[in-house]
Parts: sequence; C-alpha cells; structure tokens
Amino acid sequence: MDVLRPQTRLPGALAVLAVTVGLASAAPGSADAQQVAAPDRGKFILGIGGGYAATKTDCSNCGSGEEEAPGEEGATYEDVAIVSISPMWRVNAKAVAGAEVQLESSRENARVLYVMGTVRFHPWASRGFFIRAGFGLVQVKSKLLLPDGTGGTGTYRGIGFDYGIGWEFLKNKAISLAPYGSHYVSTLGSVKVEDFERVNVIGNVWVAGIRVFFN
Amino acid sequence: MRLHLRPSRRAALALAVLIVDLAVPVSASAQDPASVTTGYTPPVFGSISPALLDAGLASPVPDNGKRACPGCPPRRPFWALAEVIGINLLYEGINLAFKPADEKIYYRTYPKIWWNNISYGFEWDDNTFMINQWGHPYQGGTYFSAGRGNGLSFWESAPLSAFGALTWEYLAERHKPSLNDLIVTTLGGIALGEMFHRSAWLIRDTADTGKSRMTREIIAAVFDPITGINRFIDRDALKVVEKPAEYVPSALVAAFDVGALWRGENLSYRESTGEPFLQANVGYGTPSQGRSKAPFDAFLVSLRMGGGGGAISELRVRGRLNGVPVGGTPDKPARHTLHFMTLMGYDYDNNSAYQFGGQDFAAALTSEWRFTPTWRLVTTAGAGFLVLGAIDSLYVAGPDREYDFGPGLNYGAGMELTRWRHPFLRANYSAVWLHAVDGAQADHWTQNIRLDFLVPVKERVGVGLTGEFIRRKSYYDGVDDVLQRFPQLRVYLSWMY
Repeated sequence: MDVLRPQTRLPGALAVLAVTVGLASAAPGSADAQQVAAPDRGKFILGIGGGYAATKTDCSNCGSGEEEAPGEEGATYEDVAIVSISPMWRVNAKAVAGAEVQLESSRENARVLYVMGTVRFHPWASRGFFIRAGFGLVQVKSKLLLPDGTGGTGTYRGIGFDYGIGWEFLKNKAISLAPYGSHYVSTLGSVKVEDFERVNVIGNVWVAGIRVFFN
Repeated sequence: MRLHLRPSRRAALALAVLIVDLAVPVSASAQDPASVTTGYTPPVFGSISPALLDAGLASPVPDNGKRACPGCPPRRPFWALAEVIGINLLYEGINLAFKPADEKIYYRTYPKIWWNNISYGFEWDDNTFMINQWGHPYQGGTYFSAGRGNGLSFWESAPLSAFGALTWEYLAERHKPSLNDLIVTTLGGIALGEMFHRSAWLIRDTADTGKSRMTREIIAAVFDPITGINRFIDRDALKVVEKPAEYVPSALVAAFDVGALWRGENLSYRESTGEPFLQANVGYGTPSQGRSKAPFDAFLVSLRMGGGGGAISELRVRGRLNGVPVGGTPDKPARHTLHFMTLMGYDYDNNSAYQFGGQDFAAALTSEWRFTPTWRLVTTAGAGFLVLGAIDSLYVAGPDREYDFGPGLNYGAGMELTRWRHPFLRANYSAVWLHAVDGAQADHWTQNIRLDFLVPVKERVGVGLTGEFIRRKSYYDGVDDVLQRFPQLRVYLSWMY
C-alpha cells in the first residue's frame, strides 16, 4: 500500500539541497580543486556556516497513524534557518575531525541546538568532494504549559547524528567555501509539551547550507 | 515561458542532477594525474620471499599498480561500491524468495516507495533483538568487507558500511528508515567486518598449494564471504605469494572451551540448571604493546554458543584503533611497560536472564609487568562512550518491542596474570550506564564482576572455573525502580592454542 501523506515542503527542500550540491560538484573548472599537491595549511580549521533547513518532528503517539506511516498525521513540519560553527583538526590528507555547534532559528514552539563530534572525509585528497558525518547531543528548548496554567520553558536533551555530502571550493587556500547538504536526525525520548506527553520524539532535519572554512 | 513541475517531479529531477553530477568527480578521478603518473606503488605490506621464488612456488601476479603488495587485493573503490549494491540486491532477493508471502510485500519497493522513505526520515524500529543486534551488524560487516576485499583501508571501508546501511534503509524496505539500524549496521558492521576479515586471513595460507590450500580458502570464505568470492574471481585463491604482512598478527592466542553454565537469579541458584556451552576466545596481536595506527591490528573476541539463550548467546569484540607506549625507551625491552590505546567495541548478550547489545568507543591505559618470559601481570583501566546500546525492557512502553535503545557510558578495570600469554587468573570489573531514548524512559546501570581461574592440566589442555556476578539497577520515570542480580558459574575444559 502506498503511503498517503499530507503535502509537505520537503520535496522542495531536498530539491534545493540536491541542486546546490549537484551544481557545486558539477563545477570542474576550478584549478584549485584539482591541485594534487596540497600546501600545508596547518592542522586547525575553523568553519562557520549557515543555511536553510526543512524540519519534521514526530512521535509514537502524535497521530492515529497508518500501518506504513505511524504517527505521520501528527508530524509537524517547519522551515528554519541554521547557523553553525565548527572547530576542526586535519587528521590526514583525507580526513578532518572536530566538533560542531549548530543552532536553528526558532520553530513555532521550540529551539534546537546540536553539539556534535563530526568527521569530514574526502575520498579523493586532491578534490573538493566530501562525505560528512557526526554524532552528539541535541538540546531542545520548548514552550510548555505548567500545571498551574502558566506558561514555561522546558529543556530536553537527547542524541543526534547527521550525514551528508558537499564540495569544498578553494580547498587549499586559507579560506575555502563548501556548499553541503546534510540530514540531521535527533531523538529525545518522551517529552511533555503543554499538556501532552509525546512518546519517543524523533526529529528529522534536512539542511542545505554553505560553510566558510578558515584553514 | 515558465516551466511548471509538480514538487515530487521537481525533487526527482533534482536528485537525478545530483546523481549525475556525483558521477563527474568519479570519472574524473580515474584520470587523476596522481594516479596516472605514480605508476607502480611500491609494496607496503610483504613481498614474495626469495625462498618462494627459488623454490619455483611463487607464481607471477599481474601487478598493474593497483596492489599494495603481491598478496594484497587489487585496489578497486568503484568495484567495492558496486559490490555493496550487489549485496543489498542479494539480501533483497533472498527476502523476496524466502520470506512468508504476507511479508514479501515489505520488500517490493519502487521509486515512489524510495521517495516516501527519503522524505519521511528516520524512526526507531521494532525488529527482534537478534535481528537488530546481530543480524544488522553482520549485514554491515559484509558491506565493510566489500571495501577490504577490494584493497581499501579500514577507514576507507568504513563509509561503505554506512552507504550500504543507508541504501538498504531507504531503498530496500517499505518499513520506514530505522535510526537504530543505520547506527548498528554501520558501527557494528565495521567492528564485525574487520574482525571477520582478519580472522579469515588467519586461515588462509597463500604459500600453500593443492587441496589443503583450497580447503583453507573455502573455510576463510565462510568467515569473510565477500573477500573470499573476490579472491576466487581474481584467481588470487590459486596464486602462491607471501601473505600480506598486514594480516600477520604479532601474536596469536586462542582458547576453545566446552563446559556447563549455571545462571542464578537474585543470588539464588535454586532454579538454575547446568546449560552446556561452547566458547571461543581469540587474542589477535598484542593490544597492550607497541605503537600502532593500524585499526584492529590487535583485537579480542569471545564467542559463546549455548549456555542458556540463543544459538549465539555472547559475542564481544574489542579492536584497537591506535595505541601508543607511555614512557619507556622505544625498542628497548623493559620489565614494566605502560600503554595507552583507543578501542572500538561490539557487544551482544542474549541469554535466558538478560539481553544487552552495544557499539562503543573507549580509551584504556594498560600496565604490563613481565616477571619471567612465561609469566606476566597485565592491569587495565578504561572508559568509553556507548554510541547506541540496547537492553531488555523490564516495563513495556512505547514501541512494540521488548528492549530499549539509548546511548551511555562504560567503564571498567581488570587484572590478568598470564602464563604463556594465556590467562591463568583474571579479575575484572565492568559497568555500563545506558540512558533510554526509545522505549520505557529509564536509566539502566549494569555492573559485572568476574573472576576466571584456568589451570593447565596437560600440555594445551586446562580446566577452568569462572564466577560472575551481574547487578542491574534500572531507574524508571514514574514507576518503581528495579534491581536484578544474576550470579553465574561456569566450569569448563579448555584447549589452548
């Protein structure tokens, strides 16, 4: 049985992501991207980035659901902006590892912060294409209704990971530029928001962004 | 004129652009000046020994610059990628052919299902403990082996494990993509894949010929099917060369135990009956010595079958990712050495009392005293991060599943008195804290104290006695906490290699 779901903005988000990364990776002309011998740019890299993200939040009891799409009816979708900062270290010619802090602009009822360990892997040392993955903590600040009827803010923590691809332009220069697409998944366990306990909350965030690396 | 496309078509078109574009660096890299001009890569690991050449046993290995050494597999990244896709197609075919009729529908997928899966995102699944904690890591191990069997390094093969898991989750099933499957298949697959890959190389004897050579190649292929198949396709299984040095451990100890296990509950053995078990313990390399950046050049494995529980009731793998001596003078033997290492681990416990599975990274500090060439005392202390663990649920909540998922921490310490590198007396404490993020909301804290005593009786045969005490305290939100205690006793006959 096909999955019937409400129309979302996700296809558009993924289209933006795919076209961004796709066009970036299609650009073969950059001499820098094809340099073989990379100059020694030191070990420390600071990345600062921003972008667009399509988010989806769901939980086990958020909707009546169907067999193939449990909870789908109760899922919420929002578009947000993200900013990130990532201090990283060059492990070798193909791998860079470090940390990443990413903050989303406010969703309707929540704000999400990611603090993750992250790895960027260049399968070809001389080229800009990279695969990225990360794992770490997610913190969600959410508005909730307290028992006395007043409003408050609850903080919830869980785990998150991400994977994605991108292309680093001007790879061997002091400042490089990397459009990328990434899929962040976070899980919080049970969360009480307003008067409803959401069981096994899981968030999916598709990001299309660009990062500037100070090498 | 403005072109109007429906969102789904627009996204499909964009994805097509992405896929085609990703192929550009792929084809371009084949013409990478570095690879053209470099030519033959000098052997890194091993070479054909003069003795083999003199004896006329070494057959010429066509070397087009893709092999790191004559006995090494040719380096073929794209063939590895194709094999990962092939492995998924094979698993898919098996599911479609052999699953019950009412389950086959879940494996009949097509582009619309793929798109639904991709746009839906991840959720937690409710497969059985065995499927999720053993089946998926094994599957991930085959993806990983596709890389290793095609000449890729450990770290180059690791993304293949993730790629295989991701494509399986998105494209091969109608079940929604599973977060736990992705993590467990990737990390468990890397640990199991490298362990099986190196174990298979222990069995192969590339200097051998004839029937015994073929028998070894076939048995090795059972451990690591993907590398085995590649070796038969490439006819490497028939070539006489020296074994790649990468796959020759600095030391190897193994013990095979057969005996009975009694597991009590809450300090009582009244209800317990002796359960027969078989166990294999392998120590590959010397984890507590040397400077190393070669992952899994030293690892420890224990595999138990029987003993109350499933066919496989325990599998533990601890592989060294890197190691460095602390203090001392390099290459100068010393009676006492200190060593620091990082480890990657895989755990699977599925017995009649409890279930636990996990993938972790840890760091350990080891001290080794050499009293005589025969006797050594090794003490270890370590701690690490449990990326994702699974533990049996004591209260059922949320998903239709009997265990909970979550990250956590692990720590422990141990002491081992060894004779000819085999443990004579061993005491060990280990603990895991797991914070459930899917399932009943709880923090689980398990502690394990264990004492092993193995007395050599005759040559390689010994008699062993192991006492173990497992304490589990689960702290629940909103319901009573639960304390469980499992004493465990094992008596066994051991054959030591």
